Amino acid sequence: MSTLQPARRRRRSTPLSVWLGAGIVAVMAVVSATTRLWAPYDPDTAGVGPPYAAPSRDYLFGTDRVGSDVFSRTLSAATTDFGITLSAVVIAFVIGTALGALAGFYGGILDTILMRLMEIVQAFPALLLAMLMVAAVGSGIVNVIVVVSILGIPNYVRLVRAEILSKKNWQFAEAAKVIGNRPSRVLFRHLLPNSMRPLIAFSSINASWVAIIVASLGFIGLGIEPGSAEWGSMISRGQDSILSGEWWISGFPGIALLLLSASFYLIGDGLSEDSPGSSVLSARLLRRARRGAATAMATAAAARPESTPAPDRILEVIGFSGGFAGPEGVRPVLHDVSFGLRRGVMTAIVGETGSGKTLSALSIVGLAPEGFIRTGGQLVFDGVDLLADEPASYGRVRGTRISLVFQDARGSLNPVFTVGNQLIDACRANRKVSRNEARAIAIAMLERVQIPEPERRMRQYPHEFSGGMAQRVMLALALISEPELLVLDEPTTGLDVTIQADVMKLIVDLVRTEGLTACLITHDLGVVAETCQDVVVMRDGRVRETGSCQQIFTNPQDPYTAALLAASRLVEAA
Amino acid sequence: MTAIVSHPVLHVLGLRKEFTIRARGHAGILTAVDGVDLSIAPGETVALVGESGSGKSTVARCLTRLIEPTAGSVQLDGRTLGGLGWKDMSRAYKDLQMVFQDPNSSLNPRMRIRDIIEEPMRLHLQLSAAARRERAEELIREVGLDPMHLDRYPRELSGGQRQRIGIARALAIDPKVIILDEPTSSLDVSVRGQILELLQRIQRERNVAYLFITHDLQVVRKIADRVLVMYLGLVVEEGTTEAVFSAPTHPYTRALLSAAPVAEYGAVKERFVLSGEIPSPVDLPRGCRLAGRCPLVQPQCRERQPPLLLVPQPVAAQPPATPGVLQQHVAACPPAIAAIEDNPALTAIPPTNRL
Amino acid sequence: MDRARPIAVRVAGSLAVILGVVTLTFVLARIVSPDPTNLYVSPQADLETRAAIRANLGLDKSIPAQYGQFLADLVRGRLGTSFSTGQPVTSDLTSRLPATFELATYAVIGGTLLGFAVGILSAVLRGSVLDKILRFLTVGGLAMPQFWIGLMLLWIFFVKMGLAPGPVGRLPIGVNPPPRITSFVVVDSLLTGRFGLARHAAAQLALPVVTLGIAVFAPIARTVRSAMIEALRADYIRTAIAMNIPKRTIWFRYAFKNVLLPVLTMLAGVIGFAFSGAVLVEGIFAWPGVGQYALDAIQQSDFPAIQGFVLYAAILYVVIYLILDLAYSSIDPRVRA
Repeated sequence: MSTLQPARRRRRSTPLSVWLGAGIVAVMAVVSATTRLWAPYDPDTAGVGPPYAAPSRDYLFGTDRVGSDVFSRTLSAATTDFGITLSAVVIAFVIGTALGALAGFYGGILDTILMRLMEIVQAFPALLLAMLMVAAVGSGIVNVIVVVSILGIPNYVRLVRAEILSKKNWQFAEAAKVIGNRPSRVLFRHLLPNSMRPLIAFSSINASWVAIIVASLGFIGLGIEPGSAEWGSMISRGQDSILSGEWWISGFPGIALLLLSASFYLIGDGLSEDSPGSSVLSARLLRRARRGAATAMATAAAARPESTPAPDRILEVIGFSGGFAGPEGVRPVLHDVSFGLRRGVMTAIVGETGSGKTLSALSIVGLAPEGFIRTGGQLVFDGVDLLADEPASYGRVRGTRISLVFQDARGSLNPVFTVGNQLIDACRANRKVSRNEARAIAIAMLERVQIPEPERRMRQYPHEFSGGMAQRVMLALALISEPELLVLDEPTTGLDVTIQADVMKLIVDLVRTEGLTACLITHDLGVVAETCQDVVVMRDGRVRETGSCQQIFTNPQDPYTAALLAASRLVEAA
Repeated sequence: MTAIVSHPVLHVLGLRKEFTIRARGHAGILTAVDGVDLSIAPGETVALVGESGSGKSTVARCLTRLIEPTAGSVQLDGRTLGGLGWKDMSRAYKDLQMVFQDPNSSLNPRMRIRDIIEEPMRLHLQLSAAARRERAEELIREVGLDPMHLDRYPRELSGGQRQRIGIARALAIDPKVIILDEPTSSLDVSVRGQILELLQRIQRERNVAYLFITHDLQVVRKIADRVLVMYLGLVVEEGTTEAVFSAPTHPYTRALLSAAPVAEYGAVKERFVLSGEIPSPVDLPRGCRLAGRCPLVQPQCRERQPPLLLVPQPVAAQPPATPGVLQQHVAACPPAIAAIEDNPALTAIPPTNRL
Repeated sequence: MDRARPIAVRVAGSLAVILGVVTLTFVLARIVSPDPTNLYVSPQADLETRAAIRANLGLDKSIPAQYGQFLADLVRGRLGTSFSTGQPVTSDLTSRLPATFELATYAVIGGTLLGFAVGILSAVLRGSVLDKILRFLTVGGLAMPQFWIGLMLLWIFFVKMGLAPGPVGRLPIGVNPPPRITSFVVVDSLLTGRFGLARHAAAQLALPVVTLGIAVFAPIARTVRSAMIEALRADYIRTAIAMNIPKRTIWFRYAFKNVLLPVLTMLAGVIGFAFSGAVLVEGIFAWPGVGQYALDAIQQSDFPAIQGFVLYAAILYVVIYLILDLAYSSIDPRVRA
């Protein structure tokens, strides 16, 4: 659970590719519904022109072996292919969703049987099963629809079942049950509507696949009645002509099929893409916002007087501002943030959700989330402005001189590498040591953070550690490069109180014995009172107050600080 | 020992929940709740405190039948809930509602606030559409929001506002008991205070009883009349909030209280430290579950699970004899109680922390 | 899929799937071809002749009896005799498998490598022009019907440009195959020093491999890209950046191993598709593999052959997914027992 969610309230926007795909599908739908208006010749009549006529003004797509107009036939086939595809997808969607929802929600024997059946159907090569079933029930539009939708059902069952299983214990589903909804209503009114987006995305990808399978059946001659206009059978008809050079007989129906299949695909792909941030539009937005910010900063920098950082401060944040790129340029979230970190002192940055405390801290090492744009300010670390030649400057300090401890330790460690491997990698990336030396350092480090049996623990993976133990590993990882500044982002949030107390005590001891400078980002004033010497209070992206711990707690100057203190002391001290 | 004077609105006896867990082909029994007794008087607030794995949330989920308890009896307003189909359960829910932990996920994102608040009324009350509308407006004012919020979607509200909607939904059918499952733990501190005050005001006006599940001891101190401390599926200490906080007896309670940070400069605290890791709930020790971590441990602690014993107290500190439910201060730690009995001065032990 | 199940349970489940597949095929085959005697005799043949043939084929017994007999034969490894070729199905299949395997092997290797390269490049350069072009190609590959790609490639490279040979199978007409060592024509030619032959065989392979390779490449590239993007956004990558781990290590070690997990599942499906004989690709290039055998069998209602092929495909599927499970647990410690 990160506290950094720049796009939290923004609705997911629809990528351009979805509109493109939807546009083509819509045009196809109109065309296939009104073929007769567009087709210059009767699609099913032979001899409307000479055989094998190349594409020309009279025969846009040329003619085939019997002199039928390929353009008219391609249009006419759209009705067939589009119709079959759409019907099959709708049938598979309805049946598959219903079965999957029931299996996921009720589980039990129904679920077991259904999943076994689906596994059997999916063990067949799909096209082969389609061929076999069409051969069994005979050709014809209805039969093809039935067969192709049966093939699609297992996919829907699996998808919907997984969706329902993952959301079944979501609190709104539980809430719906507790207020007395009957189970079926919980399922159909509360759960299913919230699974629609992935379902529609999948249906679209499924439609792309169905169109190809339908044409494949036609190509083999197992689809609808041979001779009728259908893209697959048209391609099949032109197969031999290709070798003699008449490419258009197969070529144009193929392009039509590709167009239909690709548009469905684009819709599905775009809808299932999780972050619209990667779409064309926002990349452009980002660039524009960045350019705007750069010019603004250049003018501001020229106007600013040289500041001389105090020598006792290892890091000085001066007038740091920035925001996230939006349609109207940069939406500011940090306003002129200034504070300093005294050497060998533990400073707290305190604030509530949206105060910008984590964003400010991550910016120190250039780890602000994608989309964050700096609009001004300086970050002076040990006398050097880190922002003057970013990102190169970060490479020199990040990891080696400034280390970070993140909130969710288990999520912040790589799940597929052993803890030992990660420690050794981190050690060797920042210190000139051999692998064996790094191993020895890593073991010593685990001992320092009070992890019992460090040698055995080195060989374990992050998931084998409890939350508190994982946070100790994270701490070892941060300290292994012997940094000067340690930034701790909510290091104990989410841990149980007793564990939290132990981890905090360890942190304070390490910071003291190593003579480190530490910056603790937290929302918990209790933790601050017990551990820090300096305090920075932030709210809504602004620094409200800075001061010593004693002053902040006993004599707060800013009304917000006082309010925060009062809120933290729910019960008056005895 | 559970001497009930008047009728509690919620009375739970021997609640037990076991989960069968299958990992790598081996089946194991995880006892999440191991026989919990608890009763709540009308209009009372009882807090259930513990860390993760203590079983406090499982208790809440068993009571609301989100999961089936393995054993135990639950009486709600004199009626026994147990082995009920969803229809009977649905009727029982009329008197028992729940507010969930995460306001971001406890409201259906596809429903308007109005529909969210009106849904329980539709299910339980025979009201006309106009009456429901009117009631929804009253409710939203009661939780401190404006009726214009009724036409919004959950994503358009802040976390605190959403939690108020969650409370309004629970109040919509005027239940006798509301189970609050960590209702403030995902909120900012400033919002936390407002929500707690709202809850207290509602309780005064409606005389509704709360079962408050939380790990936040400050919240307990602020809102609870009585408190039950849970560790690994068992209640280890129980008593009025005053008694438990002023004279925490069970070593686990003492560790918990002393670990909680205090937002006070220079607050000197003596930490009562438990060493070691929490044992796995699948493979629990035979005797006291804290024996492996406890500094007071005696050989007999490892023999059998110690019962809840009355904590000796100075006469002045005895709770007033309000007719209601169990008021005594009890703890499942004979060595700690023996220490108090041997040294009566200890009864007036200064609080190990000052919350 | 429940990946924590022990191997014995998985194997039992796999056998159940195979039995289910075989049974379903048996039922379908009986519907397709209730009376296959027409394959053996002229339509004018009298009833006695037909009855004799039926008795010979075991078709005079009741359906359950036929099913029992069929299962009993299956257990003994007897798949029956193909109605159309007159050969045992087992030998039919084994004689065609090398062609399918040769084609599939090259297509899978090539498609996978290209898919990984394109997917990773696309993810790392997300949002760039190159990424957009690569994504466009990937969508095209996913949406293009195989048989049409094959035909268009033939038109361009064989008819128009004359760069590739015609669709006549594994070797040009009139050229004799090399002695069998691995059954892969190119490899065998090279091993026996017949370089001219190897060149011929490689030329014959080129277009079918490209056609099938596109079907491998496109889904892999898409999965790799989205998995890589997701991995690069993960908190553990942020940790690695914070710890000053070099970029290349982050991409190719830290992110890559996490990318492998979703990609393996996709790869399993694609391998199953390619090795079960891409029916249409083999058809277009007159490739003498099992796919074409299955296509002929269906068109001629040759149900012993259909049965045999389906059994092969089901076993292939089950084996691939068993291997997938093992691969999964070797990569992901969370799955490991």
